[in-house]
Amino acid sequence: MPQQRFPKVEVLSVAPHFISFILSETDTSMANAIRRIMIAEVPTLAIDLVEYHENSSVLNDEYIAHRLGLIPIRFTPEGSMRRVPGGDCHQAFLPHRECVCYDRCPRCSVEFELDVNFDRVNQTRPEQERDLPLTVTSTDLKSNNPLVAPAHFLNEEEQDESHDEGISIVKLGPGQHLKLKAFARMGISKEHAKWCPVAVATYRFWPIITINAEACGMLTMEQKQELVDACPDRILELDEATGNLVPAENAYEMATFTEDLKTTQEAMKKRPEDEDFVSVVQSTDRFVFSVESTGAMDAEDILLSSLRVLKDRLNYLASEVENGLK
Amino acid sequence: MMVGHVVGRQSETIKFWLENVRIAMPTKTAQRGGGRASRLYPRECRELGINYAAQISGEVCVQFVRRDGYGDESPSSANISPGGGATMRIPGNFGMMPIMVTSGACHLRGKTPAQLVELREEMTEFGGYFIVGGIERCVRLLQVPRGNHATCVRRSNYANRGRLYTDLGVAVRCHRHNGDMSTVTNTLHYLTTGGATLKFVARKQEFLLPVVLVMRALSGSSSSAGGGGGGHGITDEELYDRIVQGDSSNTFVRARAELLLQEARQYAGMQTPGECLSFIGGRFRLLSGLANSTTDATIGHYIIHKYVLIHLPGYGDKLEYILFMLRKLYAFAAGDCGVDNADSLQNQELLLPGHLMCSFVKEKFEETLDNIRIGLMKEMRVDYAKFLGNVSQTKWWTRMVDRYGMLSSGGVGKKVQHFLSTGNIISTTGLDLMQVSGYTIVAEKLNFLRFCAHFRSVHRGQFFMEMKTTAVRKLLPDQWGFLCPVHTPDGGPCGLLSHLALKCQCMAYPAPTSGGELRDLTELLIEWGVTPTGTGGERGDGCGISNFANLPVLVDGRVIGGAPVKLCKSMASQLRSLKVLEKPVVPPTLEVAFIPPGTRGGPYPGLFLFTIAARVVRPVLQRATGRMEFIGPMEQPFMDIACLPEDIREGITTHQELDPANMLSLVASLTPFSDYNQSPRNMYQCQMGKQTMGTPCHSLPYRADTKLYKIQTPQAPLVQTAVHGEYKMDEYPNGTNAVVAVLSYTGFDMEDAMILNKSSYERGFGHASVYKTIKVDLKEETAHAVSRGADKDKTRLMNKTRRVRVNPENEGDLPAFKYELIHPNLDEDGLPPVGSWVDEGHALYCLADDGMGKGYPGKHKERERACVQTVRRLNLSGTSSGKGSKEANEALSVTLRFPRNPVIGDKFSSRHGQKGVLSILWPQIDMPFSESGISPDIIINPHAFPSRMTIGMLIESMAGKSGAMHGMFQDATPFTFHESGDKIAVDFFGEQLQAAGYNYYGSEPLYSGVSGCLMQADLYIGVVYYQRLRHMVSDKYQVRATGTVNPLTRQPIKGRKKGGGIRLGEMERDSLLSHGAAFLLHDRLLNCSDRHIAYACRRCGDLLSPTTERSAILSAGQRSSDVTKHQLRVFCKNAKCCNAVRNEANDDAVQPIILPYVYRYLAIELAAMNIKMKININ
Repeated sequence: MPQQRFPKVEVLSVAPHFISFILSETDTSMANAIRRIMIAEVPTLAIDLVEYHENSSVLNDEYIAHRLGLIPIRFTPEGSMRRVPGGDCHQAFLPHRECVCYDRCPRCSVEFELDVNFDRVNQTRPEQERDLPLTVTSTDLKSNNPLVAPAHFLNEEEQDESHDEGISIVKLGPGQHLKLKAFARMGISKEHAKWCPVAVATYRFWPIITINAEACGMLTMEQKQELVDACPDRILELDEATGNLVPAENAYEMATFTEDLKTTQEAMKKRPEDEDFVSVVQSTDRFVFSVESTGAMDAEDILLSSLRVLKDRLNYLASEVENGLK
Repeated sequence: MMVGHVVGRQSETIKFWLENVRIAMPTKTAQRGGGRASRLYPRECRELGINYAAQISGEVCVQFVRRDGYGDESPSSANISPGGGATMRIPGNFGMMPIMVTSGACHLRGKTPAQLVELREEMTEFGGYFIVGGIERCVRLLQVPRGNHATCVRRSNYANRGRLYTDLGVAVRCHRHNGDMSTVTNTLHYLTTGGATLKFVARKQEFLLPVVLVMRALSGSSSSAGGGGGGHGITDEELYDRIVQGDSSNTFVRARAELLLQEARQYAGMQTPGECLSFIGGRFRLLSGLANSTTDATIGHYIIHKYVLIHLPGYGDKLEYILFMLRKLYAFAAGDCGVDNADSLQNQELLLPGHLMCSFVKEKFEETLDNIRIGLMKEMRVDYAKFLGNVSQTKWWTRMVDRYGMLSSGGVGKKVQHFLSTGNIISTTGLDLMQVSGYTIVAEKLNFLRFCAHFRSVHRGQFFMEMKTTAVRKLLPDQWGFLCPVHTPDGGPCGLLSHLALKCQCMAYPAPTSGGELRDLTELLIEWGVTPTGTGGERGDGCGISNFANLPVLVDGRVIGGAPVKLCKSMASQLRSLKVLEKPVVPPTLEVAFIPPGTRGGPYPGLFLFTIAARVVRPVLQRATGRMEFIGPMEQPFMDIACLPEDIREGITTHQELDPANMLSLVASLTPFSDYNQSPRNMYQCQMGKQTMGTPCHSLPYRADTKLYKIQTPQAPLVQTAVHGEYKMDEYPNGTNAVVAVLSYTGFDMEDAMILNKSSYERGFGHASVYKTIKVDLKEETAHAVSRGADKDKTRLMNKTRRVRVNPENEGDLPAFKYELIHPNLDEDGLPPVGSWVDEGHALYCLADDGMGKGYPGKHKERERACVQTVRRLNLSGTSSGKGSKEANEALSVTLRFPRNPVIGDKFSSRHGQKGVLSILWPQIDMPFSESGISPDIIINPHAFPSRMTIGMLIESMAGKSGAMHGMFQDATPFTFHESGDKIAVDFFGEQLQAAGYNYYGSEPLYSGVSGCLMQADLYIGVVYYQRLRHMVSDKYQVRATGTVNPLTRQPIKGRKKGGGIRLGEMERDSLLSHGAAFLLHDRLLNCSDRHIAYACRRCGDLLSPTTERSAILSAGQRSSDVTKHQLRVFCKNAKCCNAVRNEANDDAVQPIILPYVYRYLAIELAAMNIKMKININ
């Protein structure tokens, strides 16, 4: 294989719900492929079928079903599966359409039950809360699989700070009752956005900031300051001590490659053909990724899972090519 | 009170009138077995589909008045002459009066929001509409000529009245002085001789009286006690002096006044008021409908009371006003004053629903009394003796009142209901209105904006809709601040249907003239130095003559006197300062129209004060006192009002606008940054805002509207105007904040199409439902079932079961049969369970006979799948619309919910008149994304901007973006930002964006989602509030391959509902012809239309003669298969052709040809007219 490259990943920060890393020594197509897979092809669980037994709430059946579908469902692999690269649910479940069962089975779906009766709950509520509308949340969904539960939107550190008690589904008033069975299935976001594991999955090009010291020497302090102010993303700083323009420490996080800097410089130059004072160009082989999870998977797992999907697909392609050549 | 007369016993008159007419509160008709009638609430009426109406009751009072000789009892006064006998009081019922919701007779009056919710109403219910047949209807406001103000009119058809008539006149629309809001228009016509005639309309007929006669008649006393109009009368000299007012240099007026009086010489013997009254009375005896015994003079008084300048009770005032009109007419004829523009709001007021209803109801009661009178006369004619016996019995009177009051057909109430439900006025007098229909409209609850706009819409009149000239539609500066210049539809009703500006108010009642510190205006004016004329002022003796140099001073169309220009001016400003006092001395809504004498041909000068109802007023700031003053449209053009502080010119500007945005209507002022848009775009937004699927109401389960649209995921707009918060529009949100990128991305955003992010759609963007309610009259359905063989008494709603064999071998313990419902989707009661889905052709309900048959289901007729939202069984037997209350009168109403999530072709729009259709759902991974990973919800094409110039939308995008970043709502009130100076919108939001780390102008570099590369240019991306419009493909798509045809022509029928086709018309045909698309043409016009194989005879060229006949020889065959085989012989029946072939053989000359069927039809039609059509076939 000519020009084989060995992409590198350098993790900048990692938290359960967020990961930021640098992907380098590869090109845009690879970066974009990973982004696209993370958004659209990482398999997750989401509620796909709802059976209503009673719904006397103010929202209609489809509306509640739609809301249920959008609740991130978290699968926590146990034991040996825990640290399998690409720890998504694809090994634990079968896609619904590929399952041999008649309707549904624990291999392809997870059953949730929800039964909230305002009048019943009301009796057990403290005096000051009594008769106030009751919010049915994702915590009311009871799963039949101990490994699967509605995701808590917040990570553990933030949990104490807020009084978030799950994702609201509907509010109930006196006499209202919601009883349903919901079935979560595995799927990918290509089919429906509810299977999307990421809130944001994006990358940006690494900015190469070159400061032409010689040209900058000709500038007054005011002009330098003007250049600093021209960037809404604040990638430049003025060194107090030396009076030199320097790139900001975390410029790679902030650089947006806007045209503002360019237009300001054009105005400052004596001749249009003069060299740029500062240039910000995109690196072609270094990408800063940031991925934020919806809560359905850990951000790290999303990345690993996406690489797994990519690998599977390449393997599939390779085998098809081989078959085709035969 | 109204009085009718019947000549009864020889020396007696029966006098009867109405008293104590009351409207009760709406109640349900008491159930059988007594019990108190329970309250009827609007919510029940909407769900039941009945009227929200209440009982009208009253007393018919009857009195027998002894006549001494020829009685002179005053017909117009309700006072019963003391000589009369005892009064009989007969309680009467006049039907059910529709009640305006939240009016004084409505149960919702004064209810708190919590109580309203308890009653299943909207929390913010403001009423103002009637419920007729379950539908909310409101009476719309109408622009009508200003009351009690004489205007100069030039109308070409005035000249057609007669030989001497010119096209000039002075018209005044008078409000009756008793405040019942009925009006009569009097017109003073100018004659070529210099004379004038007074016109009035009675019972839709025009009558013209010589003005001198009227003036002489009015110079007497208004009471008829003195034997037919006593008083001193008026001499010709006095008349002359009062017209000319000492203006001896004005030869025009002098000559006209002389001519007028000379001409009057022809009316010999009509000098005194009495003589004139008798003359007038004599002409109108039949029209007046008064008793035969009434004298001519009395009738004369009656006519004057009823039809001449009815805004003034006194004859002296009437006379003075006619003189004023005459002077204005002469000034107009001489060209001293110009024509008053009838299309200007200056000379207009509004016809309010209450005022129209009041005069309408009053007329209906008058008609009722008249009917009773006619009825009594008939009774007398039929059997006088019996009549005499009955006439003093209350019971008999009750019967008469009920019979002639048409109680059985609904009485007065029914007529009002008819008026409200159709909008048509059926009136004997015409009520001084220009149109007979189109008064009421349905207050559609499409969304809150539309609902609100119904109540603030003002129509110019149906008559002007047909007018070819566009002058009436013109936007005049006079309407500034009163009618919104933006909120008018484009197309047919443009400029004729406008909406009240936000702060504009309409006077429902005349301004109070007493109480508090209020002083009598007339007294005040005379105190200030107005010279009283005529009977003006308390001490006016009726003879005072103003000087021509003085300007006339009028209060509500009553001439007080005259005052010099300077005094008028100072009085006007003094009145203004008295208006705004904490304890006002004059009414705060007093209109002080001081029209200064100006150039020749300008408006007629004077000081015109108005306190009457039906005017529009609006608040402005009075600079001198810093208080708010109400001004009217007549005074506004003569005032100096600054719009902005920089417009103030010291020493000249007296007033200032409270807010420059006050000139906009509610809907128009909700458009953010509307001052940055090209003005027609704001007009479009006013239209589209009212077609948005939003939140129509919160009491959705209790509403039975035929169609309601509701969006599932509405949001409060991030960018909103001050009015939005003030009017709590967030209670009824109408759209969603969407991330909008402006770029040309896939080609799917061409021509105003927009690309929607598939993931946004899947997360709920634009999701909506349509609620449709179907009402089924079970009585009708039962009758239908009976006609198909059901037993009437046994038919009811139910779903029958059928026995099904499940286990033919009868193995083991399993039962052999089971019972299953015939209509599986219905419950046993024949109704669908709530929450179940119905498809096309499924039963929605089912009636069945207890005994036989499978039942008679009613089916779901629509192609779309629907969910059963609500099922209501309505008992109408106790309600007013349930006819024949003994029978069970039941109805069924089923509300269905149709999910309507966005599909390709559905219409969306921003709030800037930028509408577009959804062209594709684009996957999120392929959408462009920004540095921060945001991908747009919507992509629109940049070509939407250059020609439309909706800069407001671009600013909204910036403002929305920075608002989202900083977590705040942005203020987008028009006119708060400036184009230059220190407050420029772009800079304001640009700085906010920069603070949030974005480009100053809101553009960002975007990456292509497909390639992952940065796109070349910075792209404009921001947050814009998007509305989903109610025009949806599901309601509009039309498709047909084959289907129903018209039986006569065999061409496809039209109509989407019936599965018809779309006409390919001549122009389409021409275009295909010019392209030479012959095959396509052939396919459209023949194959897919009325292709027909006809047999034509080549020999005789006939299309109709070829016929078929079963072959005689073959049919004679003995085998049965021969008989069943349809072996036909084809031949031509034409005599010549018949002979050409053998009897049993096919005619070879007859051959099938392909023709459009209409061609054959034409041949048949021609044949019917003895025309033979030959086809030449070679």
